[in-house]
Amino acid sequence: MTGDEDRISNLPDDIVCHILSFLSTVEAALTSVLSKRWRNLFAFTPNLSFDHLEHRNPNSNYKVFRKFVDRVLAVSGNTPVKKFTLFHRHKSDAYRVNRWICDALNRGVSDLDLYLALEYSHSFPLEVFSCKTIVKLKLGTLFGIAMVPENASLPALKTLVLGTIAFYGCAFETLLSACPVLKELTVIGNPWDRKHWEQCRTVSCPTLERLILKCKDSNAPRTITFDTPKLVYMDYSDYVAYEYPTLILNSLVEAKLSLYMGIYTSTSAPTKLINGLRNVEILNLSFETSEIFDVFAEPIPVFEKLSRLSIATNSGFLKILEITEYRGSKSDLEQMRHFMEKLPCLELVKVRVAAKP
Amino acid sequence: MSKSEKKIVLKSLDNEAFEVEKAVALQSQTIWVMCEDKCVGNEIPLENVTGQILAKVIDYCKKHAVVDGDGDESSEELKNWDTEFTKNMDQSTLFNMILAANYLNIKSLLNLTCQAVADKTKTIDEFHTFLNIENNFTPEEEAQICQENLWAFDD
Repeated sequence: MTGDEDRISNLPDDIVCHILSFLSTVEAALTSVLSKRWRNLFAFTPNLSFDHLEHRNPNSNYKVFRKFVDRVLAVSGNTPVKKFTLFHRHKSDAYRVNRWICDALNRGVSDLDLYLALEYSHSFPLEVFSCKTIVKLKLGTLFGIAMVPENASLPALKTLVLGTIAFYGCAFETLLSACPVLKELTVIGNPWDRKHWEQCRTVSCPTLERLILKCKDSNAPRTITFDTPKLVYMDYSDYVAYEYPTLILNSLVEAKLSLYMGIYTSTSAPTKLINGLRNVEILNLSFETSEIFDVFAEPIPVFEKLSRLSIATNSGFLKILEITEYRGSKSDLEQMRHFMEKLPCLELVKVRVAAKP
Repeated sequence: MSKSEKKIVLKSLDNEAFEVEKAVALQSQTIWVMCEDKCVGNEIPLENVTGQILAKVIDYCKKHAVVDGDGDESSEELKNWDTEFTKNMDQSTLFNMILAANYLNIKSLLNLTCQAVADKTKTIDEFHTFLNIENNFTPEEEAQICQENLWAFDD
């Protein structure tokens, strides 16, 4: 082989690093034996990702893993990092893990993906909550965050994903209030402290546009407040709260509900919730959710703007269906046929024809 | 804007001229800056790109300009097109495309071509064969590097 054919070595370092950024750091590290030029090049990619389970040999131990992370971070010094991914499912050595995370923060990381097992809630580095550069933050799993500092500030954060993380006291609310441009929030598992589940749960964020809330826990929450005036899309799966004191969902276009009856649910709560969704155009209900209407036998509120309704159903207890603004178009007819097929218990269909333009 | 102003001529290293819609060419930040600066006329010389590569770059830009304009063509379809686009490129073309995308500053094309190289190189052997890199380490040095990054080489 001749030097002329070694095309990739003709590429400048930053492009080689860009190519390597599409590999995980452990894959990229294989290039270290290619030639002298490549020895440390892999450590300078803008995306660093470390996952203990990614290793081909599952018995490979954490000591070797930690040494590798330490070395990569030491070699690359202060090189800017765009994305930093760390999956560390081992409870020990929290001090070192924190040092890695702070290193990424200091290098201007914009996409931080952490999947940690922490023994103590206080061992999570609070510096994360005052990082000026983070745009996307993903946190998991099964650890608690005791407090979010009062002066927390994530001025660039647009996307926040929380997987099974418990926030104590009002830490969750404090975190949200520290995110002035947050657009997307995904919460899997209950972010509110179990011991304090009776307290009010509040999702309050004036800029939020998409919310995925899947926190079906063992108990129904006492209250849930949605104070999200810009919210366009909502995917909400939980026990019905005992009360919904505040529902600010003026901009909501699409809602996907998968709600279950809790023992504490009052009879008015689901109706209040559904009323809060009155402006939606697309409504998707799980079978259990549609049953809630049946349980309370309350009249279904009128959805003036609704253009698409889908109900996941296995037996279809829905008896009365009312459709307004019906235009008899091909898609309207398709939809009607779909209702007829999927709702065997349907007894009455009320159709109000749209006024001719 | 008159009709002629909507078109732009790109001239390759080997003097091949391509007349394209301005909207197609402006996906290149480099060309965009040149046009903004008004330092060039209607003909833009691209001294680092051959005609053969430039033709492919233009194909890519045409496809992506149409889709962006319509806004409705499915991203799925576009993704498939991208995959096909790089699938059968030989190594030399792929590297020249990377250099061209870098020079012309077309971020999505740079990502696509770099991703294609990354996809083709997941093991040490693939790196050696596909990237065709001459190993200038002594066996001792190589062993030392494996030890340095034991996590990656330990299996």
